[in-house]
Amino acid sequence: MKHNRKIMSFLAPVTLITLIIIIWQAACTLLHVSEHILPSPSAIAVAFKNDFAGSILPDTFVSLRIMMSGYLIAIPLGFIIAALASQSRFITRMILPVLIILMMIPMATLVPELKLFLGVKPSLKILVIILQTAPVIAVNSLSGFTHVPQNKVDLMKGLGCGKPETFFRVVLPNALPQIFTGLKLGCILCMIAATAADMSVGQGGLGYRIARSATFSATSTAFAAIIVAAVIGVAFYMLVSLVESIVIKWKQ
Amino acid sequence: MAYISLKSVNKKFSTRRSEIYALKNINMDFNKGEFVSLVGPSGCGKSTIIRLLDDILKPTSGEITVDGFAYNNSESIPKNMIKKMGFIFQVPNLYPWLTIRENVMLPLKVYKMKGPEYDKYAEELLDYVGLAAYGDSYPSEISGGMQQRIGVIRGMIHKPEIFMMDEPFGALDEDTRENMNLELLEIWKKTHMTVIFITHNIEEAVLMSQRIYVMSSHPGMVKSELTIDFSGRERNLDLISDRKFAEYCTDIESMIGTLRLDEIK
Amino acid sequence: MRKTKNNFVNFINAVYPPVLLILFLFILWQTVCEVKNIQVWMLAKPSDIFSKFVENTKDILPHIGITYTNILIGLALAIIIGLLIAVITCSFPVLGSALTPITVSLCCIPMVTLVPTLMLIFGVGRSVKLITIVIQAFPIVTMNAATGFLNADPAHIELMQSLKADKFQQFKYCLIMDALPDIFTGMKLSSIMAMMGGITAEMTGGNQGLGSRISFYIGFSKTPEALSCIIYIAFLGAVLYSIISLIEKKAVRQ
Repeated sequence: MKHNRKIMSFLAPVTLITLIIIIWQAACTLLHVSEHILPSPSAIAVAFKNDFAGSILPDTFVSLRIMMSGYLIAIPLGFIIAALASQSRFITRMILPVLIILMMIPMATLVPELKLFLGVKPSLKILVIILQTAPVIAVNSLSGFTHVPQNKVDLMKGLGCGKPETFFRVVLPNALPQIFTGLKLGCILCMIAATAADMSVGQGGLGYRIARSATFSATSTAFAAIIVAAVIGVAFYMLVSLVESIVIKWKQ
Repeated sequence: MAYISLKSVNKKFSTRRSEIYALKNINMDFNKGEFVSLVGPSGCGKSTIIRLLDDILKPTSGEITVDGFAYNNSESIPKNMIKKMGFIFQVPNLYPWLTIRENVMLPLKVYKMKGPEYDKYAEELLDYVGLAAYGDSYPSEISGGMQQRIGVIRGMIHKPEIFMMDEPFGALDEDTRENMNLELLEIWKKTHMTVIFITHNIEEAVLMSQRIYVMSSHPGMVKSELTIDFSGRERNLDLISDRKFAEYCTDIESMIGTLRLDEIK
Repeated sequence: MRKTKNNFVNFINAVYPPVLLILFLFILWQTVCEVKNIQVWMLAKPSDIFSKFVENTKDILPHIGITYTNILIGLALAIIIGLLIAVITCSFPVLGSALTPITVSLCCIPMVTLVPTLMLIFGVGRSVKLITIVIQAFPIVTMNAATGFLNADPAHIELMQSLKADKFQQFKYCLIMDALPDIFTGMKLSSIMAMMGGITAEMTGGNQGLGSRISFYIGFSKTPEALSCIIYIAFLGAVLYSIISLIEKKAVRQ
């Protein structure tokens, strides 16, 4: 019974995706949809093969590099800000609304402004990613740190533990689910911010490739790059989810 | 034909390493309107019997019949049958998002029973267990013992004919438990419910029951059956000082004591 | 009388710390700009922004209305659709395992890349913006709601089984209440995605909404005006998130 379930959970999505590709291809071919408006799967495959080595692969590496740099800086940044703020109710009340405001501003709105102010540099892209990702991680981690059951904290106090020990033994483990919520959303936003930054700032990257292909009406290449971006985003998300399940299991 | 009967009921649980017989060859009969207790050490399958009667578990083999209706392995009990039964488990399991009153009346919602007579009955039951003032409170605001009392009256709100209770008063203090025992006896006398009562407290069982099944564990089996007869004497706390009461308790204790020695061997 | 006084005091206590911080940041921003003599077109000072704020607001008032409406409607639709799909995927496991990878993928596609194609098909009106917001925002709602439904307290479910409640009753009386915290998390996170989808769609095409105004003003190096648009966007985002948080506090009781 369990064996059947596992097979089904693999077959079902594969079947659905195959079906979608077939319908997409059929619609494009039969309705004579222009390749420049909506390319068919076959056109995308051709573009992928043609442009892989020349543009898609190097652009993928550029995007991956800035995403990783941005994300790996945003994690400790957001985490430490949340950890420090959670130590004082006043600071939490002061900082949380500001973090929420930062979190809700789409970085796409700030990129043009930052371009004027800081100039066009690769570090600008990484800054944009950090600005978009760190607040989400901070807000969710802060929420986790401040919603620990009071009786557990009191127990630590009763045993004579200081604030740092209470934090690492009780607060942090209890906050893990919320922290991972922030990390998972953070990696999605990281992907989106990286793409927006690439589009706006240029100098390589999948977003740049998508925008540039669009200007030349090479829509198939653009779609190939979009699919690569989506796959990277999903893979990244699944990776963080995997880490989450390992950590949660280990905690238990 | 008894009102409720279990015939040659076995319940096996398979784990990765072995098979465990929670219940082996259980034969029990309950007559309409009787008050019967199941007594035995922990692990003797008493809770499993309640779950089988509630159709949450299916027996590995054997027959269960309630009021002429035979349980079968493929379907659930129909709603009209389950409405006749009330179940009380060891843990109150109240819903934290409902008020006490709403928790008590939850079975009515599932059974689609409506009307002012049920509203009144809910207030009566709350009053009966001394929690009338807490109707609008939430479970997180009351103690564990109070929650368990709410669990008990929740099991009765739909006026069942058959009442099955799995160690309902185990977590209560001595005084409250004695009060609840007497109240349960009052309700039983008034409503003529058939009561199946599971407990590890021998005095409680002897005080309230007309018959007691004594069970052994590993695997769970019926070791013996006792009829508790106080020759028409009123069942109340005075009974505890009766010599016959003490004899019954000692008999059962020695039975369970022997059982424990058996298990050690 | 005492209750109102307490509520007022609580409100002030909650509001003054962040206001202090924001004022401090504005003063810092102003000082840095003046000391380093930064040009207006590069980074406008708070004083520049606020001196033109009222006049600018009158100009962009219709656009504010359009953006706010788009995002509110889009978010509402995304939440409804997201919850419906979550209920469907949890009720029909086969369909659920088919749809889950697609839902996760949709969430990870930056809609900014698909907006041009969508605009070729649907034009540059309101519908494109709403479609973008819904596609970007609903997956998060679905994923969190599904987690909530599948992680309901087994003890609570057992009570429903003991009463022989049917699937619909189990959902209505137990599952949905157990899942409520996760559902609200999903709604809060999807509001972030809705802002992102809506604003980037406006920046990409069409000349309606605050997003398009930002592109317009930057094109003419009118930085103070662009930044005042961003302030309106930040306000919308913060209020949206806070409203959902407030409703969550009232509705969720564990």
